[in-house]
Amino acid sequence: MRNSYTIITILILISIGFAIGLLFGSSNLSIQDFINTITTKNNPGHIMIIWDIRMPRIVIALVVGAGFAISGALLQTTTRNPLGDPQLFGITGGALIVNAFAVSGILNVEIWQEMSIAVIASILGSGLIYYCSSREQLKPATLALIGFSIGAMSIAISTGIMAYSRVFTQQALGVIGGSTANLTWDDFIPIIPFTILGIFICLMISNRLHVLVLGDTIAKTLGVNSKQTRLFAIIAAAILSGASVNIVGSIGLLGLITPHITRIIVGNNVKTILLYSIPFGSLIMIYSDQISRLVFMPYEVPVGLVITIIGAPIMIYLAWRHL
Amino acid sequence: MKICINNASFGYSKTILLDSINLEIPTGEFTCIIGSNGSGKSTILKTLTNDLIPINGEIFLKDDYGNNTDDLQKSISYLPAGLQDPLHITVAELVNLSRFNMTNIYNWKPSKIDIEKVNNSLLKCDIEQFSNIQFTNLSSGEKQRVWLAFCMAQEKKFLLLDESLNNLDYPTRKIFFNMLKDISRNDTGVLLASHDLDMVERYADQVLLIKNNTLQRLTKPFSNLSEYIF
Repeated sequence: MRNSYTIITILILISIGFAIGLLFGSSNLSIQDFINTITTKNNPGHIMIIWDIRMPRIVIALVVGAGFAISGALLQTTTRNPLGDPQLFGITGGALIVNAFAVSGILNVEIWQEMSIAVIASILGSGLIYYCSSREQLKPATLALIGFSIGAMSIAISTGIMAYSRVFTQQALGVIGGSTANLTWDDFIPIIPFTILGIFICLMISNRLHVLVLGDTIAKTLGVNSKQTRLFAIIAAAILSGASVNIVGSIGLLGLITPHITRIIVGNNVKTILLYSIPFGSLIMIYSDQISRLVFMPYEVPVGLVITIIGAPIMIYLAWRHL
Repeated sequence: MKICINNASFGYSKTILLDSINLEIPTGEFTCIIGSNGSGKSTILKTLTNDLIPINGEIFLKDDYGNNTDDLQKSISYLPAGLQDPLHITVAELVNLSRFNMTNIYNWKPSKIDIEKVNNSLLKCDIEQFSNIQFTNLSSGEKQRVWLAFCMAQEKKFLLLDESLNNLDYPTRKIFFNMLKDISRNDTGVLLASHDLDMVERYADQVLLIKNNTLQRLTKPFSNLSEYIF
């Protein structure tokens, strides 16, 4: 019962965020203009601003936020590690390098192909973490150290690629810091199948993930193949976060904090956390995006940095209070 | 019903710890395995639960009419040693998961019968007052009882425990052994690997002693078990 209030509250907050995203921006559009544009549709300039510039950005923020959040939740539950985050675990590293190649113009392919390559790279990168987390006695700290090293290495490589190709600062920041600026519907379409696939896998295995909380040996006595389940979970995390990174670049901390916040609000059930991470991730992402574009208008701060700056103190508080 | 071990050798891929073992573990009895560290107590349990495969020989389940069945894995609940504490889970949630099965894998929820059985085992292990407490907040003795309730709620014919009860105090160990004895009286086969010789002496129906790579079956009455080991 309590959780249905939560979901209603989140939906209301997301709608407000949506409205803010549509109404405010660097080009001055009054509410009157907005209503006129929607009802009469006779101002092509305004239609373009609302429909082709602001709208795709909001929708992408919602989808990407959800993607990062679920992949964080998946990693935290499968590796039994509160540090689980696609970026921290180096899973997004492959996708980030693909991004750097694309921005540098070295990889010059269609948007669909680029996303597919990014997702595949992401899955390959996650192979390493899968291998590492399959050992029963591997300590969470070891896992985090390995993941962190892979992640740091991939950031260095992608920065190197961009420096070598003399990419503009703004674009480079968009890859490393994460940015939702200048996105169009064309960017949005390819992410949909990947997100649906990722969430589908996640729902398929959510029950088994619940059992995995008890540890591999106990899970096995209940008939759950923990290695296989973990493989599916990490692939799902790689698909979701790889596709997201390909559009908006690296967004740190979102995958880390969202599951923790979700857990505190909706309780400890793994399935509930996975499910509720979706709206929570979207919520955090949509508001961070508004901050990133509105606070220093007409300039933008990369949204990833906004999330890190807001998220870090929250994470510190949560770690201090709840872990 | 009984687990029959027929001329089986136990060990890891290259090292054989115990060779040509013949053994029966019947329901309704409390069997204890004793032996020094590394003698192969856990290896036996792991082999019975299919974590390891027997190097040769066979292990099977014989039902009450003397027929061989291959449902051995389905009839065993197993509590391994050195479990990590599961995080973010309450006692009731943890014990509920014991009823998990793969038949309705996409939307599994404990049924009414499941919940009844869970509540029953919580009561038997005297932990129903902790139902809504986080598992990590319990003391080691209480955690032990939660895991025992977890196994009991599965209602399997055999209960295998690989337990180091060393860090528990005397009364707690006594309660624990009492519970195991009660479980075995309920037509369940209990197999416990233990170092707690005093308790084993008092409670076991059958003692299996592992020494110098051989398995020896001791019969009642047991006394001065430590002399056998060392």
